[in-house]
Amino acid sequence: MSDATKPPVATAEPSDGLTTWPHLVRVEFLVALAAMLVLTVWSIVLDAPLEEAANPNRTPDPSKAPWYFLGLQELLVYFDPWIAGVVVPLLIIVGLMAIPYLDRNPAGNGYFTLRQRPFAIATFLFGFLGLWIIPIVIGVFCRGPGWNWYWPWESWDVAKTVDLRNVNLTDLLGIRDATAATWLGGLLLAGWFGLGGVFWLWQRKSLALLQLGAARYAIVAFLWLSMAGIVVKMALRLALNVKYVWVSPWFSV
Amino acid sequence: MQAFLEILTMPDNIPIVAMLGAVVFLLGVWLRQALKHDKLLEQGGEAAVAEEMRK
Amino acid sequence: MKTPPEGLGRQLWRSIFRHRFEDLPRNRMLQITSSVFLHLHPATVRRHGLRLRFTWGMGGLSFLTFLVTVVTGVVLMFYYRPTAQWAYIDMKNLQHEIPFGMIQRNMHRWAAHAMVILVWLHMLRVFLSGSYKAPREFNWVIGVALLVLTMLLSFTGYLLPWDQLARWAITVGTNMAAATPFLGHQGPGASLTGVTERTDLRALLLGGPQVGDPAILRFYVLHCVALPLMAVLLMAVHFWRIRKDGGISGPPPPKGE
Repeated sequence: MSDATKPPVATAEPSDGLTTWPHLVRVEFLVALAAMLVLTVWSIVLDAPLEEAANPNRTPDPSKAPWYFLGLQELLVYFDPWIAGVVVPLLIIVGLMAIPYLDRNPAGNGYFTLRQRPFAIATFLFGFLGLWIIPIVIGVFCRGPGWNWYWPWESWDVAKTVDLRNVNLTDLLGIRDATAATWLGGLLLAGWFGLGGVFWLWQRKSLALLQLGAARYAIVAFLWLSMAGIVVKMALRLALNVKYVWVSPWFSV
Repeated sequence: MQAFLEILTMPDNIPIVAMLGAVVFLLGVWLRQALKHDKLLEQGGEAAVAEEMRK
Repeated sequence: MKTPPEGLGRQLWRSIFRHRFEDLPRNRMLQITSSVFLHLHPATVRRHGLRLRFTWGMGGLSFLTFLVTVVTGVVLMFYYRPTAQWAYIDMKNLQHEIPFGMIQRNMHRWAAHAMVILVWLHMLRVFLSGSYKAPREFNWVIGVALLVLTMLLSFTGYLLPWDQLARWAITVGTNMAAATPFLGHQGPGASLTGVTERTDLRALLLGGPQVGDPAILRFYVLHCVALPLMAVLLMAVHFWRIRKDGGISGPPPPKGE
């Protein structure tokens, strides 16, 4: 008679014995009450905007996406639409979903800690605050007509001229021939992601990387380097007016 | 300054201002808790953390 | 000895509520287990799960704002026609003629914006408390799916007032779809697949090459029916999994509990 034939015993969830009614229900009720109060007052005091009727012949300047997508629209300054509008959102969604399967650190499961999970927390805050919230704030407060930079206190009535002297990275390095530029740019890009391989060679004996295993590490390295790469490309664009890191006959990055 | 206040108080931008306040406040709550727990972890391990969270 | 017949009020009450009201442990349990609205909760909880400094209340608030948008949304649906001809006029009507129309619209929009923010804050809290780790990995994935649905719900609703803000914001948003590799007529690889302005992914989203009547109707159906249904389905799985994965996350309970 083996255990496989017996029906499983339902294990109780861990509990302190505090009954949901009234303790949890009371907390939920009070929070919901406060939230409804805030929402109601807010809805009485502030009116939702309604601008003039939709006019296909007049494009407003600047034409802004809904605020929660302004982070992506800000990326359009630095990347082509197919990267900023398609590849990056997909990477974000897939990357977020993958987090539980990439994080093999058992510490910090169910409580706040900093010392036990520094890498995970630093990476997430870098992405959430640095690459999502801050671009939204920039898009809302610092972008005016023509998507030019306007400090929040600057009036949008003042027109700004746009500096259009963009170059490619390979131009900066002195390469003029298109084929050579494609090869060099591709090499640079591959080298950037190759840094992940270099790091693995350097740290492959460490506990963290042994816990991860090759497959998880490859994904973590790719995602992390992509996030950091966005910042590097932004810096190149702002400091050196670099438009593309890699130009190829098929697409450019 | 005028333009700044105008943008800041536009009804459609109030949620963003509120969000920034909420993010700063909640990260403060988190950091305080996390640092307190880190000290407790050194002394008593996860059991000490569990005890503090129940208070 | 014959017992007196049960009073009408008593029978009415007992047919609805299956529990007594004396404050006994059994009645406390029955309050939860015999209520369709409350029975998703466990009958007893861990103390730290009550603390707002741990949960921040964000998950519950996300659900609350969702319910608010549903209720206000249904009210708005009585007064709104999703066509280019009538959408804007109906919005004006709602704001100026309909009693409490402006408040309903405001509540809908602000609850929607609040829901997007609250969902982000909920994700932040779950991450910082490590509540996505085993055995809760899949619930996190469901959560990300709900996040995407929330943003799409907000995006589809954004178009419906059909003012300049709406029309051009959605134009900017859907232009990104035109840049999709292979599937968008302005993306890399478009010449290989032969998609045009009328047959690419953006045209599928908009029901045509421009943002116009087909787009309003398409977004309206997505916003009011398709996306909410998907959201409710995923929320059911999300709440269910919380129970199945062992209730609110927390440090391991001390031995003997």
